[in-house]
Amino acid sequence: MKKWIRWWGLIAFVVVVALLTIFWLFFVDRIVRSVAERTGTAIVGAEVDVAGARLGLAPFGLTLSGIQVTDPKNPSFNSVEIGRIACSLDGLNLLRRKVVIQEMSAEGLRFGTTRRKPGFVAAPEEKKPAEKKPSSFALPSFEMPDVKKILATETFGSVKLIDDAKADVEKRREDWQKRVKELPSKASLDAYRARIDKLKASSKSSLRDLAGAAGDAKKITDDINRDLDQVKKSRAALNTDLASAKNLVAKAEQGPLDDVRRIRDKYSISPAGLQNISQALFGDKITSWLDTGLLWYGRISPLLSGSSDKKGNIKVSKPVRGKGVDVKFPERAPLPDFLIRTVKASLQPEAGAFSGVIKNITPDQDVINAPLTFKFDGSGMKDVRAIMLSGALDHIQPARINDTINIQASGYRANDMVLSGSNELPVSLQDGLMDIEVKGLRGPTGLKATLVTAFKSVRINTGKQEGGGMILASLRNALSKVTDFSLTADITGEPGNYDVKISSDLDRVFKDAVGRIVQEQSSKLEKELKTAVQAKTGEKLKDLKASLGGLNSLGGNIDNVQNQLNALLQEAAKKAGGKAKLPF
Amino acid sequence: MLKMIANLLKILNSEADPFQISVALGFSMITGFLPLFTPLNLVILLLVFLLRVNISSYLLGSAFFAGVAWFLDPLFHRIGLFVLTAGALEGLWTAFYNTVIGRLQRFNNSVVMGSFVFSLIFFVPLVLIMNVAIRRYRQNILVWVKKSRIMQMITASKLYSLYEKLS
Repeated sequence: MKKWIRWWGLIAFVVVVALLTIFWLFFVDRIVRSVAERTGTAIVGAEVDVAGARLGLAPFGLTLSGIQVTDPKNPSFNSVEIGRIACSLDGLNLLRRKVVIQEMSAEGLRFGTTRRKPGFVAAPEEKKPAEKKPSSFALPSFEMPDVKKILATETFGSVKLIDDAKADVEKRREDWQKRVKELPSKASLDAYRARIDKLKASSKSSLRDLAGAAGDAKKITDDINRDLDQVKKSRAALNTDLASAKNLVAKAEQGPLDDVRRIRDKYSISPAGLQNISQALFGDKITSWLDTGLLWYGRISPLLSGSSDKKGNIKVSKPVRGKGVDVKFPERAPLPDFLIRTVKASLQPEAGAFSGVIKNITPDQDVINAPLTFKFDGSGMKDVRAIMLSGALDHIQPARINDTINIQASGYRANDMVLSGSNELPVSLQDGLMDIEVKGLRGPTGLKATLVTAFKSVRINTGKQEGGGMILASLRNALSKVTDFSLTADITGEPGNYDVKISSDLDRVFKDAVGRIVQEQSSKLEKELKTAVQAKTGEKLKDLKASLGGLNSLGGNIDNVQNQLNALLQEAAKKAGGKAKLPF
Repeated sequence: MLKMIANLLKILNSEADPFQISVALGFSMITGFLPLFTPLNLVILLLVFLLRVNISSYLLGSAFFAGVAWFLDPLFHRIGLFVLTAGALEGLWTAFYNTVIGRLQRFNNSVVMGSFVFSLIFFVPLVLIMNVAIRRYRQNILVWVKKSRIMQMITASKLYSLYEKLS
């Protein structure tokens, strides 16, 4: 035993361990600070700086001071700066590698502070969301259209319509002219008359003569009836053709008006176009706010997902720091590996009162069966009179996420807020107050949010006051008189691909301001177009109507023949019944 | 100062029997492969001090095997995951997972478990192989090393002469 054991080694071991412990105690604050910076940077994707850290042993707790989180979009500024974070740690759970913090306080929060030097951004900026629909955010053209240019570039369908109709009617007329010639002519009618006269003159002294006369009369009436049938059928057919031709002509007459309407609607500002001006003016600004919110939501959300891989009954998770995977076995007293039960946060005192509570920060919500909730209240702040922010991130079941947010801010001071960067009509609020209400929900079916903003006592700046034409001048004038208005935005879709529909009572202002001018412009354009189209189609329509008249007149010819045949028929029937002279 | 360093070297290079060096290298493999600040490494350190093994070999070997571990981590991960997810051992790991030592040691991490299993399996073979290798080295190669220029420079130094005096 003596051969294998060196007893002084025990003392050496104790000395080494003691030295290591002293070393650790001496440097633990720096180690904790370094770990906090590295972990924070890994989570946020941008540089996190910690000015100081202190690990207290009695009581066991941690204090971090001077935390600065770089804004990934703007590395020269901080997204948030926290003066001090203090928390007590559960030592026993820490030995089980579970960081459980019952209560953490965060004091001296400030947003958007300037950094001494730009922070490092680990991950490239998120890809821009799916391309916005430019047509929704584009202002309608306010320029007066040039009629000459329009006439040079646009095609008129009515010209071809009239030409086609004329060709059709002409063909029908020619066909009918041929058919009318096939009807019984004057010579035929004269022949009938001669036969009837002969019948009248014939002797009827004997029965034989009478029978012969009756037979002749019947033959004449049959012949006339046959011709009459043909004429009647022709008349019916002509009526049908006439109706069809009239229909063609009516369409051809309507053609020029349709052309005028189409071109007028294309080139002038429609009422529908005016109603979309709010969408065009405010769409970019609202989308920018939404993108910022969704950026941070996109960073926080994965941290709440927890372990998702399962091997049989066992869950595995990737450690935040370290290699491999951590296999999680069932625990007798289940607790998440990381849990902060309550965080109490407050803003810098000189910036007003803004404080709140966040509860249940953990990536393993399913273990504690409770979602992350937050509620913040602020009042008397520099830029906003009162604000309330609350919500919940429910990831207890990762497949059925239910995240909600509600924001109510009243008296938010808007100074030099750019609402629209459009070159034609830049709009900014020089000053004013806003009451904002946001309700957002992200669930299994997607994203749904509503933003309602009431602007009060605003002064609107619309850039340079000259140029742009009457309509823009009217819009600028109308906007400059606006002191109160409201705006509603409805957002639907998915975080990476959403639609924004904006409406505002400014739409009525726009409509009232420029509606009359737009109407006048539209009427003027319509009048000029009518004149131009009339010049192209007037003569052609006249010819078309003349052709229709010609076709119609053929009906008169047929009627004339029919009347003559009817008269002959009557005469034939009369003369067939003449006085018979009996032989005795 | 030189005397202090020489004394330290003397302590470190005591227990120079091939078997003592081999066992020290075996322990260094475990230390090198596993995370440094864990209860198991504390036990290994205690054994290294308590048992008559060569401390300098242990220290040099730990550094060497820590470097090798970087390349073998993917293998350790596969071994560890296989062992941790083996159905037959689930009961054992669950019981161990619910102890403080088990959580402190991070045995539920696939790389840690894989490196531990690997070290256990290769501990005895490594000791035996190194034992033979050291003996062969001393018989055949050491003479040549002693004659080399680098060795002559080291042996000519003040530090070495002081070390020789003390040992």
